Amino acid sequence: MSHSQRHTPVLEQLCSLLVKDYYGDLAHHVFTVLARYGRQTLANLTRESYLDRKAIKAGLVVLIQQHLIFHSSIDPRVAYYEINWQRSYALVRAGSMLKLGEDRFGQKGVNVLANVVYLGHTRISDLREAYFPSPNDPSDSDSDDEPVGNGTLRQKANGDGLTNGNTPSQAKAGQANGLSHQSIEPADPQMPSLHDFYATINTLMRHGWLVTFDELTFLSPDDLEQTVRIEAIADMFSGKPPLAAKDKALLEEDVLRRRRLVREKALEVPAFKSLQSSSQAERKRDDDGAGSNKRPKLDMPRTPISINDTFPEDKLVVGINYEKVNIAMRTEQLTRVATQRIGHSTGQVYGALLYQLEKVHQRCWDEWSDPAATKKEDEDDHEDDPKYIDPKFLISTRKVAEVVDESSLDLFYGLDPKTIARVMGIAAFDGTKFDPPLDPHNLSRDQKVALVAAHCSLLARDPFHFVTWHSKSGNSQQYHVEFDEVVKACIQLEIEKTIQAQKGPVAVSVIRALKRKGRISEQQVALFLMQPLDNLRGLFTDMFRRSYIQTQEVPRVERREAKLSMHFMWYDQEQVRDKLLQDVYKAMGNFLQRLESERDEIKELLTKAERTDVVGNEARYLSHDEIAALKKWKGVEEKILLQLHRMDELVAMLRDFAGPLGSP
Amino acid sequence: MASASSHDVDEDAKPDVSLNDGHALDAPSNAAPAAPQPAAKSKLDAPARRAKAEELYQKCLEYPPDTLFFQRDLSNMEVAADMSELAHLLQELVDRLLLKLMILDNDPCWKYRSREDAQVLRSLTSDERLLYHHIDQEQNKGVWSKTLRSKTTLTLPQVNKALKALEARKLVKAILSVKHPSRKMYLLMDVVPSDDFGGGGWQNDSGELDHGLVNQVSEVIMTWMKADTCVEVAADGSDYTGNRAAAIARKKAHVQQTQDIEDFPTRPAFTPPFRPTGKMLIPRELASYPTATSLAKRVNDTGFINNKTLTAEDMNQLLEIMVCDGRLEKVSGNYRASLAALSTDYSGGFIDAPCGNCPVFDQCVEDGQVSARICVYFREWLQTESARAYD
Repeated sequence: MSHSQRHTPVLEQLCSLLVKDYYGDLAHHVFTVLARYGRQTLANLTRESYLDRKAIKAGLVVLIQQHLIFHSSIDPRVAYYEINWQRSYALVRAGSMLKLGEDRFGQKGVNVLANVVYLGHTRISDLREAYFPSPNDPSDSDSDDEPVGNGTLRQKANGDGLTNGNTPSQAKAGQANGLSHQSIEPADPQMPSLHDFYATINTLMRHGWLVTFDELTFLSPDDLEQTVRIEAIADMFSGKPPLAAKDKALLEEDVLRRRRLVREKALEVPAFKSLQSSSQAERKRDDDGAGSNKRPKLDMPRTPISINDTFPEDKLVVGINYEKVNIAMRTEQLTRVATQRIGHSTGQVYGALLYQLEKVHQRCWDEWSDPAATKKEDEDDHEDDPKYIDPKFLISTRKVAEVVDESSLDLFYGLDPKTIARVMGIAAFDGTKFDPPLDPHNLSRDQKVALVAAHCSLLARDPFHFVTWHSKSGNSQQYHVEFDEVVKACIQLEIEKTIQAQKGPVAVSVIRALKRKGRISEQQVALFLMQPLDNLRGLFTDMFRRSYIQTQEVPRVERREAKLSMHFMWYDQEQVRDKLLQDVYKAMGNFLQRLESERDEIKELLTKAERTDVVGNEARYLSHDEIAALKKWKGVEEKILLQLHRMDELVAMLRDFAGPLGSP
Repeated sequence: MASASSHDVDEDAKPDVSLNDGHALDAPSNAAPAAPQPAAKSKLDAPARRAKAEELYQKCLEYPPDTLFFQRDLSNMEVAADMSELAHLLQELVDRLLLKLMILDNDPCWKYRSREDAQVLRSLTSDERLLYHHIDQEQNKGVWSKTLRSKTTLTLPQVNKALKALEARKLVKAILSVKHPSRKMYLLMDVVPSDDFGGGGWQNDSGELDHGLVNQVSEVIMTWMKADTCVEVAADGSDYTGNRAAAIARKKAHVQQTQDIEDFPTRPAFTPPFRPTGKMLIPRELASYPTATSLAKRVNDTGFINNKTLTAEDMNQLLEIMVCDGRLEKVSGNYRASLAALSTDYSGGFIDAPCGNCPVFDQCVEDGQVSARICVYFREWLQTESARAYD
């Protein structure tokens, strides 16, 4: 089974609660049946769920539209449905995804992202139709009825065609992500022109946040593998599965390559005709004038796109790429860790550095990675050097200095005064106070680069090794980030923080001692920590019960008496990571259950408050107590949703930023 | 003369040497397989033998203490006329506890005792001598009083009395092992306990781990580490206030400017850092990292711990513990003060929530006896009156 499709009962429960919360009972029902029985056909689903076929289909449509299930028709007679666990979990992440998108792409970007999240996936023309309805045919401007996805979904972007009758309430999404966007209206102030619309989508696609969807996107990893395997066998071995070991290895390699190709194809961004026309005109104007070849600014006048113009890209079907979201989350979280460990300015410099690297990384870790990928270019030169790093992954301090905004950041903060004196060329410095004081907001370019380099050096010297020095280029330094190692250290930090909170500081010492010493007896742990064994024994039992440490009994004599056996214990980071992840899933499930029961408590009042005559006239129709109760409910909901978001950050750190760590 | 210096041989001999003080101590019979046996009938009369033995002993005394004498070394002293006579002389000296018979690589060898030591030993009772023999045999491993009892078949009061007498005469000492804190282990007075006893330099005289010492030394080391690897910066080190208004105006302009989607997206505006009042520690640019050796030397030189010297190994042990405690951190083999001990600023969503520290987390299931819907911890956390199932 693909790593991304691993699931446990706890995750199943969490995901079905999420589906219930977002898409209502029908979708929830179908989802739970699929979760219980695994990959199913429609006929089997009907049999197991006691719902009629029509209702099940309606539920399936919602789930497919939102990518919560895969479906495969490899067997032409029947389609199979299977839960997409990653996307089902990602429901909880929608809010933070939009926040990250807003930080990166501004209001227009997040507006488009929010609509795509709401719709699951959409054809660009449909999205355009929703923003800028064509005057001729408001029902369907697109004559091309090419099937999207499974062919049953020709969803209108304005969201009125949902077949199960459960409106996936936009209000709810709004609550979760704090956006006030209620509906897409023509001439949305967020999206003033068609050119803005295409430019926004193009930017989102170039940054990998939106990817094109096709039939293969709806296949589960296992189905995709099977499909490409059949293709590979047909191409390489004319349809007969290979028998020789060498051929088998070749086939496996080719299957991996084809899987990567599928993935890369989704990331390709076609040239947008809609943007070319205007930018060509723009360039022409520029050539006449100052001759700058800078990209055109939106505010400049340009040839407007007519509402009747159509472009080839309108047929593209796009959806959110959560792998990129993970990268953005990684940037945020690593920045936070660096800020906590070293200091604000250093953390911000690190954030800027990671942000620059975001574009070159497609995913946090690659399940189908190509072992030879790093050696693709200049193969001869780097074949022998395992430490060769593709130059695109390097980042220079000069580049970071360019994006760090010194007008609002004090680059002196957190640096050794001697470093500052050296950079600023102050010869006489008494080591305590700069007199006259230095202006942190008025630095020369070189000073800025040198200060950024000093912060990078702090990052590199930290035990977490946030960055790794690579080389010197000119008067700036090149760094790269060994994400696997940094994330591993961060995972360890999360584990230690949890153990510290649950079992106290001595337990953390025990974990660290075991991590350092490997598999040792309890006496040796006590000896190493200089603690009386009797004090530790209870803690060991406790930690063992919580699966934080593993134990092993090795008999010394044949009789296998416990007294005469050696008892070893060790710490397995991968196992504890998984255990903690499951605990967090469970806690998130608990939060959703609690949210539901809290909502039930004031169900009647909520129904009353949502009545159309009451909305806007709360003071007139609701009593004082009722308004107070509503206010309290808002607080409770906010608190629970915030905590869910924070737990999701922990899940991202534990699960998404690094692949399997390997056991000691 | 083939006698080696005591130190050299002892180093090699340690694992193999077992000791046999001869018949006077009822030593185990297998202790001296190759020792020359005295002839059935002695050619010398008692006084002559005594005089010759005395002469042999005098010759041995010319060598430094702890020298091992093998049979050929002793015969080379040309005191005894032949091998059987030598055997008699050696037996005489062993009986008088002036020589100590030992085995090294299956060859018998002897070590001399000073006359005073021998005199003290001779004054012991037979029980005491027996125990002394067993304790001596264990060398630096020490022997537990209970083991002594089982080996000697003496009664508990007898053993206790004898051990007390031996301790009073400063012949043996009792220490506690970290491994078995409740057991009193006995060693000869001049023997250094083996590493198994743990603690090393951190044990006090009775062999217990000296927590006070460990804490004191670690406190001092922390102070030194902070001074060596970090620099203290006052918050007003560069108290720039001059053009604050301009900076604020710039910042305002930055925030208010409209972002263009086609620009390479810039990060959100940075907030100016919060400057805490007072001082803060910052890692030095070029730190001279202290090592275990240098720290041990520094502690020993300052002499704030009495009657004790710490080795680099002891210091290493302490530094490792401090790393585990989170007080120090290790950067490529060097130790430095940790400025970011597990911070509680942002402890994470899980442990902040009621579930993270819940004692019944494992029992909590949907619709169970314990469930989130009726959880009292949730009620406390949310400060709601709901979950009426419990009311």
